[in-house]
Formats: sequence, C-alpha cells, structure tokens
Amino acid sequence: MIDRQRLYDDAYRWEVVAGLIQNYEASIMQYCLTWLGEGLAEEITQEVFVTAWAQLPRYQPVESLEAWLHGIARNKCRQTYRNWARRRVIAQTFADEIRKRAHIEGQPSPGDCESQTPLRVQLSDSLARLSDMDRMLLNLRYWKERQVAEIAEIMGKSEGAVRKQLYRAQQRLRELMHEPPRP
Amino acid sequence: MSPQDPNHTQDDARKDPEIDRWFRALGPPPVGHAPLHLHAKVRARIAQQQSGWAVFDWIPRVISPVWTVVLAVGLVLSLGLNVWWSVRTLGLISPRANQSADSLQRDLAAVASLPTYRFQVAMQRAKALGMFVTAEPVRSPPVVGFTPQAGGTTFFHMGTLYAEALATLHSGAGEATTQRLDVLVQTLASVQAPRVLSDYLREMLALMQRRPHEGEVLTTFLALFEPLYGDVYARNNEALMLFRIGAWLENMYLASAAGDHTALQQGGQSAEAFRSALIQLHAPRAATETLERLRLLTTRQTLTDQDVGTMTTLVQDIQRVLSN
Repeated sequence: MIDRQRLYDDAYRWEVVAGLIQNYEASIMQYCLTWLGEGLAEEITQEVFVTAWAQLPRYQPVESLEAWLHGIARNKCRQTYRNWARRRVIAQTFADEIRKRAHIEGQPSPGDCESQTPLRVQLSDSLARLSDMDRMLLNLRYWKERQVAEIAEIMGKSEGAVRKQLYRAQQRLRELMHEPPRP
Repeated sequence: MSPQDPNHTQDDARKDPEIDRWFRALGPPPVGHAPLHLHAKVRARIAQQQSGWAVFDWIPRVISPVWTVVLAVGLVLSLGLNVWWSVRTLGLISPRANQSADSLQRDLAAVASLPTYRFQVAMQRAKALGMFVTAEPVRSPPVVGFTPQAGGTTFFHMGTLYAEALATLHSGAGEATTQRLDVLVQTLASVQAPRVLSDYLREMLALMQRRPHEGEVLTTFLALFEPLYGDVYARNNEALMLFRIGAWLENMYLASAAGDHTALQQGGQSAEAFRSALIQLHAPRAATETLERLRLLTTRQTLTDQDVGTMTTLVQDIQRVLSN
C-alpha cells in the first residue's frame, strides 16, 4: 500500500520503486525483450523504472501498480520503435536472435528433430535478406506470437497497414524459402 | 498461444500455416533474466536526473510541444550564427586581434557545441595536457576495411586525434599538433569525408605556419572544427557519435592522467548517453560494460588516487576495444 502523502519524499519514493523492481523486474524485462530483443531490453527496463520513479507522485490507484508499470513499459517500447536508429537495432537484434537459434547445436527445441536444423538455417538466411520492417513484423507475429493489434499499437501504425505489410512480408519470405539453393 | 488454443482469435487464424511451422522449428522465443544490479543502475540514473532537474524541471510544465519546436529551431539558428560569426572574425583576424582574443574565447565558450574544447579549458592543468599526449606516439591512420565496423573505428579514431591535437595546441606543442592534424587529414580522406573538413584542417595547418605564436587564435580555430564536423555529419549518427565518443574518451584519459577529479566527475555525466549510443551502434559488449564501470566510478562522492588509476586503465581499455 502506498502512502500518497509521502510520495514527494525522495527516500520514500525510492523505497517504493525498489519494491517495484524486486517484484516486477523479471516481467518488465521479459516484456521489453519480447518487443525489442536483447540489445535494448535492459536499457529500456532501466528507463521504465526511472520513469516510474519520476511519475510516481502522479500515479492514480484506479489501476494496479503492475498494470501502471506495464503501461509505462508499453509507452517506452512504442517510443523506441519511433526512433529510427533504435528501430534498426531492434531489427538487427531480431536477426541475431534467430541466427543464434538456427545455429545452436545440441539444444533442440521440444519436438525437434535433426531435420529441423537445415530449415532453421534456411529461415535465418531468408529473414536476413528481408527488409528491417518485414523481419520485425514476421518475428513479432510468428515467433513472439503477438497480435496484429498489439503490433500496430507499438509501431504507431494502423492495423490495416500492419496487415498489408505483414502480408507482403509473408509473400517475400515464402519466395525466398522456396528459392532453389544457391550454388 | 497456438492456433489450436481454444482462446485463439480470428486474428491468429490468419497466420500462414507454412510460415508458422517454420518459426515453430526455432523453438520458443528467448526468455529474459532479470538484469544484473538493476537496483544500482536505476538508482544511479535517478541520481543523475535529479542533478539535472534542479535547473530544468520547470520546462515541461511551462512549454508546450509547439513551443519546444520553436525554441529548438531558435537555438539551432543562434548556434549557427555564433559559429558563423566566430569563423568570420577569425578569417579577418590581424595581429591586433590578439588583444581581442580573450573576448573571443569568452564568446566561443558561450557556443554550446564545443564539448571537447570546453572540457579541456575547464581543466586545472589545461596548459599541461599536451605533455600526456606527446608521451604516446602519434596514432597512425587506421586501414579502412570492408567490414561494417571499419568505418566506425575510423570515426572513433578521428575523435581521439582531434582531442589530442587540441590538447597539444593548448600546451603550445606545435609539432605534435601538426603530426596529429596530418594524420587526421589522411584519415578523413580514407573515409571520403566531405572536402570541407580536410580543407578546414589544411587551413589550420597553414595558419599554424603563418602565426605559430598566436596560440589562442589557433586554439579557437581548431575548436571550431568540432561544430563544423557536427554539421557535416548531422545526418550520419554513427559518424557523429563515434567522433564525439572518441574525443570524450581522450578527454577522460587526459583528465585521469592529470589527476583532475572534478573534470572526471563532470565528464562522467555524459557516460550514460555515450553508453546508450554505443549499444545502438552495436559496439562490442566489452566496451559498453567497461564504460558502465567507468561511469559508476565517476559517480562516487570523492575519488581516491586508486580510483583515478583504475579510470585511466578503463579508458585505455575502451579505447583499445573501439580502435580494433
């Protein structure tokens, strides 16, 4: 329970934020990791808690602290996607994540079999040949299993635009995956 | 949620089954672990914000987004005018201008985008900095390769060279300055930088030959290279940031070599911004992690000689990682 009267006291406010970190650092980190990948997740997780500290005096207990904190995380991720340079980092990280997974040895996923490895490598190579935006959309939609509406919200686009772009990205990926192997 | 999941929506139904199968072959997406020392990192960032807020916390309450844009444009124009005025003054400079050198220095210091110059002149032993630079041999121009990192290394290297040249000029070590400027010109050519930059440095070298004893004028002229570089590379974030990081790290090295605790602590305030920039630029992890250690050290209330020694080592480590 937060004592709202004391929220302008820096020491008390830090105590509250320290509690939030302890309880929610893992879930906020996972949220940021899903949307942004490893490159920026930690950075943005820190920003979420710094912002929480700054905005705590304005917190209205109409929603739970956890929901409020996730709202901040969502806004931070949205801001990150709006930044051109950071968007490039996300696209690159997504490619790296898949490349790492494609070439990983000895750690098959559940239900995996030997024959999946060439498929993973081929998928990784094909994704690397797509544009940053196509790669991000496919990664979020198919691997991270995000809804189109969520993707549209984070990327600041309309659902229709995301659907259209996703459709084209799917077409391109399918073409690349069905291309005969290059000598 | 899988398509077989009873909770799956229509939206999920539109997934392409073949692509879905390919992604499933990758296994589950990465799982995050709580970052190390998150408490300490968040606390340090809050402390940093608090120190900045004392002066600026009224701004968001007073200024609407429209006014923010108007003010930003005004600031950019004002900065441009200042730089233009300073360059023009230097172009017309005569031997008598020595008398106005002090006022020029003051005007110059008022220009916001001269971080390297301002950092060095604020240091207690500004005139002795060249000694620390000349103790090391001049860095040769890097070989520009075809890897994505090669260009970045070169911009970083240029920032370092620029800060070294400025420091040697402060100390009146003209020969050392000339050597570094020569290498800087070669390096600019190697990355096919716009000619205005190398022309400016050639003009600087000519000025050094014509007026070797007018230290203040020369320093001022070289100081203005930084905003010019910023202007030329305004649309190339990588070139701009790596140059700034190179210059800043060299300044931190000079501050630690000179044992200037205040300069180190002040310089440390930019560490977080540079670390974020390096992360964005995919710099090696070793560099960003060492930079974080350096930043944490600079936030200490009082620095011991041992801290300063450690900082020198950390700065050199980062320089080594980013130069390769």
